[in-house]
Amino acid sequence: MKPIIEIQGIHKIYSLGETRIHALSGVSLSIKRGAFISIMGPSGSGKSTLMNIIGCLTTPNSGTYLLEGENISQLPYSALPYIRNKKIGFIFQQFHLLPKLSAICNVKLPLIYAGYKFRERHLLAYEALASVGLKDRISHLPNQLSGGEQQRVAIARALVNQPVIILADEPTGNLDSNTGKEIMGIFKLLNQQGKTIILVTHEESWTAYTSRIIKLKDGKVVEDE
Amino acid sequence: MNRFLECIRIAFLSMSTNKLRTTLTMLGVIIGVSSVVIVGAVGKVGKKLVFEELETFGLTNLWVYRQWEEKPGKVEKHGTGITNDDIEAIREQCSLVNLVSPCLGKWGGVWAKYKTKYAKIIVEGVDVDYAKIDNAYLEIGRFLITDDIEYRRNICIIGSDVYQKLFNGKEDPINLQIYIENKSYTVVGVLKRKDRNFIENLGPKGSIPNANERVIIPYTIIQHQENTKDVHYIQASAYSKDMANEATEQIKKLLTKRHKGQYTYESETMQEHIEFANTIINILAWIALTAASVSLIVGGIGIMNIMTTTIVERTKEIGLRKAIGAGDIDILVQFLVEAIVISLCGGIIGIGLGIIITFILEVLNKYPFIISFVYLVLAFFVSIVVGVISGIYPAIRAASLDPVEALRYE
Repeated sequence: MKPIIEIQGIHKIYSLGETRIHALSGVSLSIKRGAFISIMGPSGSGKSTLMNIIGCLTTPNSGTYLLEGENISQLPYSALPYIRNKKIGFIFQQFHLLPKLSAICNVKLPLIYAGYKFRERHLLAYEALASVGLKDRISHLPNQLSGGEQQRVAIARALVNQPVIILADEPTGNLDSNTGKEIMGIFKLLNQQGKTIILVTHEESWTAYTSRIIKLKDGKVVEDE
Repeated sequence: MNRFLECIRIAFLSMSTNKLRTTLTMLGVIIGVSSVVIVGAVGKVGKKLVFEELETFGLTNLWVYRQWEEKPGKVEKHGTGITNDDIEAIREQCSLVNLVSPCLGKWGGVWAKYKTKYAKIIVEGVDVDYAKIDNAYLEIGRFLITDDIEYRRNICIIGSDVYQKLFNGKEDPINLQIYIENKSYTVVGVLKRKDRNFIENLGPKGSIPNANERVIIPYTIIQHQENTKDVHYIQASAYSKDMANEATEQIKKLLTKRHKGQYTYESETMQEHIEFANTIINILAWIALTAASVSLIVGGIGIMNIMTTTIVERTKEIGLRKAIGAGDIDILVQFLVEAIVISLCGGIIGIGLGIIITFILEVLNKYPFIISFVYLVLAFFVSIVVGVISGIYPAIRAASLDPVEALRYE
């Protein structure tokens, strides 16, 4: 089976005034469909940059990135939002829910940009929320929900458009350890249902949930097991 | 369409989250738009009133009189340059002139007396057609007839102010005697009232004063008193108001020819006065409209300011929307729509406010309630344009944000 993600010799350089920062220097990776991977590394190791490239939020300076066989690094900038919408589900440390929208409206957001009709949006968003156990919370505003519930809304939002990969950037960073476990449990479940999940984390303990650990340092892969 | 409706929904949502700020932002547009509506309505009412007033003079009216040259060293020719024979010639030869009347007036310091009561009056000696030319209607009695002119009958038709002052407006004045310059005249009619709120001074050399202070007598009486066949000026009517200027030229040409160029003539037409009044109202409307557009510009800057602030505040939201699939154009449209919605809401409130203020102004002044729909439509579209212009820059800024940076923004 072809891998879902194939990365070959990716370089990413940021210019900060005079200094050039080599965020990634020649990273190569291949990720199979249905994998649950954790990316680890100290701050400045380039793991965020790698996430941003995999998530199509930015493009590498050189190297190739194939997502489901499609060469992302050759796509024009204007095509990236479409890829993000259809293929990527983002989960952030700070949840990034829109505070004025109810849980279900937050979940509907990606569907709006995907062009679904109102009825379909409502149905899909409801199902996604139900799948993370928030059936009774659909009309609550984010500030009426606990941290764990908010992150579950964010997971529902990431799932609602049936993405091919889920990118979770420190998803438990703002949660206590019990709630963190809950969230990790959801990821485990999703992975068992066949979802490909990439998790960026500081916490050694979460790596127990994952099937493969990639460690980065100074923009290079130093460990891959 | 879907996304567009969503944009409008989001716009209302973000407007409602900070109601005070939204209201203050709208205020500029509200004031500007309501001013546009009021200016439009006032202009329209003004025109209607001026037109109605001028109509009481007769819209086809024209006046011709001698130009009194005052050049040093040049001896003034005697006479008014217009005689009874000229009037006859005009009747026969000027094809565009419908009716014509010779006019002789006594304008300064003339008093009428009835028993112990006095009234300051203007004496106008005119011909039988004058009533039709001047749109002078009778309250009671009759106007001049040919015999009155021919036999120089000492009769008069009095204006409504004169009637009020001499007869308290109650007594039946017909066939009663009044005295003007120690001569007695029999009252045969009373003229209907003419309102002159806007234009007090129209007519030859701006000197038809209060039409209600007139006493009309046969022009032959004044000619007999002054022992002349001259008339002071001509008042005539053209067949239509568009012909008035040409008819005037016909008369002037004929007079010049008949007097072998000894005199030059001046003229006025009601048409000129209508145009003049319209010009003044239009100038005033433009001044007011300029003031209104200043407040619209200020309103637009207010929206631009608030949109820029909003975008900084909502950087994370923009980042998130981009991450989950919003393109630059989606973000641009979202914030542009938001600016337009603010401006348009301001515009609609402004139109409502403008109508209410116009209504109050017009009703308080007992004017007819008129709204200028052209200006309503104008105000509506202007508020959209203000929204687009003030929203485009902040929207472009929002659209060009880098999603990675925006998501990290604290």
